[in-house]
Amino acid sequence: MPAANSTLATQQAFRILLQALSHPGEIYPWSPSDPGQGLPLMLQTLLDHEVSFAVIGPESDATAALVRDLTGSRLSAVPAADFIIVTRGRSQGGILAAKRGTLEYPDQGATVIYLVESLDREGQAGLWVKLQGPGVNREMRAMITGLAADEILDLQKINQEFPLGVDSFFLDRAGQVMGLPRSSLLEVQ
Amino acid sequence: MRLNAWLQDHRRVKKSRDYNFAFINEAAKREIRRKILKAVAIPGYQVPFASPELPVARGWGTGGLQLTLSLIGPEDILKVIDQGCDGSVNAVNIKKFVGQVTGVSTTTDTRQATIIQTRHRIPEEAMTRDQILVLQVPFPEALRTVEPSEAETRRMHGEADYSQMWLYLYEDIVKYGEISIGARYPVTVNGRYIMDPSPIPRWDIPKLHLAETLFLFGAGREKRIYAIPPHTRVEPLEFEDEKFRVEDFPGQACQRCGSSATFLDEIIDEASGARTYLCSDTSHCDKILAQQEEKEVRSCK
Ligand SMILES: [Zn+2]
Repeated sequence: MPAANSTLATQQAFRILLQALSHPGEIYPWSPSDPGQGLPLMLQTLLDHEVSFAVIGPESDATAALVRDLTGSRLSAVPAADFIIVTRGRSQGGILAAKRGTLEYPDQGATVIYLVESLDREGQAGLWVKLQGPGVNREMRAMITGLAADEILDLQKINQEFPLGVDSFFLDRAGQVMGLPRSSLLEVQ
Repeated sequence: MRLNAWLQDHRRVKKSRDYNFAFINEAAKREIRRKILKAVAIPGYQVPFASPELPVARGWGTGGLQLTLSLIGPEDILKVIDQGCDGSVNAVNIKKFVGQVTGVSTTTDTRQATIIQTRHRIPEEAMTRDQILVLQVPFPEALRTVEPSEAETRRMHGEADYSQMWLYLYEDIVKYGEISIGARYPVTVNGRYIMDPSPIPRWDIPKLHLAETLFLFGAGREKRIYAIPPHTRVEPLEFEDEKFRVEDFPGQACQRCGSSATFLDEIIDEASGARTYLCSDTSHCDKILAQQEEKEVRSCK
């Protein structure tokens, strides 16, 4: 897995994450040559010993071990975590405990990484999400498969008192990524 | 580009140089990158960051440089301008430094650049969604004029309590008959935060509104990063009956390219006192001139 350790791989990964968060709802190819490297690359780009993380969902122990080994980040409880990884697109309300920051320091709100089945522009199987707000030209629609509808409703609740809130990335099995900053107005369709 | 190709590039770069790619160490870059993402997610909010040391004095564009170095990769094409000019000593030095620590190619053409670092101007040519404009910021706090305390301005931003700022503008109008602020004209971002757009002229303020491009602001001395994402509302502070307006140059045009639709620098001849005007954006001026089938390259004013 040498690529994920590369200075230039994380630089390139960061630019994709920056594009994704600047254009909410757009789907960006991430690591199509090796989709399995999506999460490790993302972790190495953003996490280290300066920040803490939590994992919600099945296989949380294995995921936590991966995060610790790759990044040296500290495992913590959800309410204290800077990064939260939701392994199967369903936190069952767990995400409601995430840090939302304070009015003086809203940037202390958590970043949530949702691992989902797929991100698409068309199809029927998944959940249609409509987005508006900064970064979006009028409106964007994206279909997320493998994300519980409750998660979007919970994110709506968490982000309804802007500037407080959490910022999310969705990472799918094909190695695509989508950003969802707290500034986005969300609707499930 | 494939990761393997990236890796090969990396090895080649590493072999020929004995410092970090893009100078700043990876841990410091990671911190800046996390803060950039938060800045994008909360448009107009100033995110504190631990500004790492650079081989240039603070106040000489360190904030912009820290952003550029955290963004840049071997594929990027960099343009640096100072007050609109690619050829100024400051811009050339920054470009040289980034070139040395990254090996990226540079350009003066706004359309060709993927990253543009700038002080005091936004290029005249419209930028695209694939480009990033990095602005150097000397004074990030728009409310500092009305409130000296950092704790208090932070509270004011937190509660969107901007009454003091509005009072200041009102008193300005009473005193001068109009809002007298030239550069650093305060704006409201996404209907929420009042933000200092850095010392760009009022001329450049409308370019921030619902733009295609991501704008990143870096203040090295005060250790703040903030952002305006694309397609974000950016409104200059104004009253119903006292509207914001950009500078105008009635009847004037650039003496060199003849443009009357660009921001002009006034040049006063010391001996005769005569006033002439030149485009502030030198590469744009060059382009217009080239279109007129001339080829000389302009030097800074
Ligand atoms: Zn001109």
